[in-house]
Amino acid sequence: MNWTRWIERISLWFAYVGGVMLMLLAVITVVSVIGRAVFGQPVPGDIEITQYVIAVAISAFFPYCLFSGGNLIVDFFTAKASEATRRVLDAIGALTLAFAMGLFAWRTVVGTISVKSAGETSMVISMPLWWTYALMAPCFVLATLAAVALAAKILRGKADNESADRVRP
Amino acid sequence: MTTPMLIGLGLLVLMILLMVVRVPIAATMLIPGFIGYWLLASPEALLAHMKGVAFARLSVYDLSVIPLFLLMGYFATQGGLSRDLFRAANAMIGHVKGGMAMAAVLACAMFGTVCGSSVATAATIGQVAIPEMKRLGYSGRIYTATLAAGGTLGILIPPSVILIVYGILTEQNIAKLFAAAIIPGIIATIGYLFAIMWFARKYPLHCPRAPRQSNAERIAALKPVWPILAIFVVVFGGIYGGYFSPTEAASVGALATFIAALAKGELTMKGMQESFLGTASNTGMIFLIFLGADLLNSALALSQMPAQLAQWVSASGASPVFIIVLILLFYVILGGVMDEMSMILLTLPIVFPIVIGLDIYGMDVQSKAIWFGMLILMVVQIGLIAPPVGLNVYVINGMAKDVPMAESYRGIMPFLVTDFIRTGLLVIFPSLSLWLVKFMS
Repeated sequence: MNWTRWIERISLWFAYVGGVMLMLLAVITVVSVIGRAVFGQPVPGDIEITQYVIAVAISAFFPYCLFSGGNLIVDFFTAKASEATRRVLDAIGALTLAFAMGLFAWRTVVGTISVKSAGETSMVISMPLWWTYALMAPCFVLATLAAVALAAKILRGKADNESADRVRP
Repeated sequence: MTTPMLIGLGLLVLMILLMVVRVPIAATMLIPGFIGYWLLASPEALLAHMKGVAFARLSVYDLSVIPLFLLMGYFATQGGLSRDLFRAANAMIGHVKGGMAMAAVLACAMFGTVCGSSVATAATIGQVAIPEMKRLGYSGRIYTATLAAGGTLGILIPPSVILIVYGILTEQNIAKLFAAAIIPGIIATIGYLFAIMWFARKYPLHCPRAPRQSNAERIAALKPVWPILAIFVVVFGGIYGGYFSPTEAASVGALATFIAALAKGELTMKGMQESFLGTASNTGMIFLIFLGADLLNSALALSQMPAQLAQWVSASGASPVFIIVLILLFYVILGGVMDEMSMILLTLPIVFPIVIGLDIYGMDVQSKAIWFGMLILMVVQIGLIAPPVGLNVYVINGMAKDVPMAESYRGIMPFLVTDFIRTGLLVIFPSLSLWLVKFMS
């Protein structure tokens, strides 16, 4: 299997993991609602847990979405250009996305280190904050690789960037 | 003009240029955002900002409603709930002139109460309604148009992804926005029913009648619909009554829909995977553009441009309602070129301060924000079905390959007329949006 397929496959698994995290989040929230209604006691720190889990889950969705939806473009102006031109432009476009994701990846790694050394914790249940950063960083690293893989696929004629008329809002 | 303002203008021009050469929309905002921050603050400030910005923007409690409501919509889609809705509505009114098309609209409206996406609603109800309308002899013009227009009830009727995004960007209460959307959503449904009635009267051959069903058949058809009704009552009763936050309601709704779909025995392992992947690609897309718009808008804010622009507009002496109408027209035109979600994320931080700065009917800030939210929702909805590029029309037309695109757009026209009338009514009578909000705790 070539490397782009591997990256796609790993991105798919990140998306599944993000989906499972979302389900767990729903369960925790429902337990908290029931706890509040029946015992007058919600799950401690439920709001914080939601914030952290949602940040990680959304980050985990990024690599997969670069292959579908995240690469949304406006093709109104270049609809009549030749296929070769469009392919080159789309590959360059995917690489700009890779650059942006790479910047996020680098800075989130640096952020992890500085939050860990500062020892920041959450307000209610004093959960250390650095692990959320540490979980988000690999998502952005994978997103960078996914954007590079997308560019490679486009150049090989195996993918397109999605036109804005085709994707769901 | 000051130098920062020139830089601000340059960033917008750069963004448009990048869009023209097919750079993905998220990157067309991120790249000028980086450059703007670099120039207007400093390279160190940009790098420091980037360290925590992803975490800061994504770890927002209210944001969790977006993926949760998307997941709920996918479970409803994959769980076969749409077929029951269409059959029930058809059993009730299928026998009148244009009845099956009306049934499809009602099914879309009902599905809209558990789904916050218009394309998902159109495609899901379309899957069951199109074959049946075809079999009965409906013309391609009316069934594609009905489903494309009806699908937009998915975002018009809460939950609505666009409204959640609007609420987060403008720091408004999402529960109140949902409450405000109910009356416009009902008006939209009634408008579409009228459009079908008009069409069926003018072109009776396009819409044959279905046989009338007996009362026993009707009751049997209504029975399987109760889970959706129950989910709707619990989720929205909970939000409006102040028992749940929107996040809690979305969690309850997602789990309840999951269980209802499992109980019907139609949610397979593959359906689960599809639900997760659909949620991932939609959520990822929204938040990628959200991060880009956020960075570009913080750079623009550094340039003082939005604040200046708001000042100019309010000092220009033009009638406030006229300015609102201009803004809406601008959105309808821009929506013809651009994806609606990106359009809102990008422009709202510039447009919203302008609107808040206007004195419209003497409304307070919150009322103005909610009212304008409804107008934004209407222009996004119009963009989804209006030519030249109506996303919903594309999706439905793709499901009915034998119908020419021009036919679908011809069919869309009566629906579009009701959309413009409704938008006009909402502009003239803010109480249509604000009346229900008053009763919330």
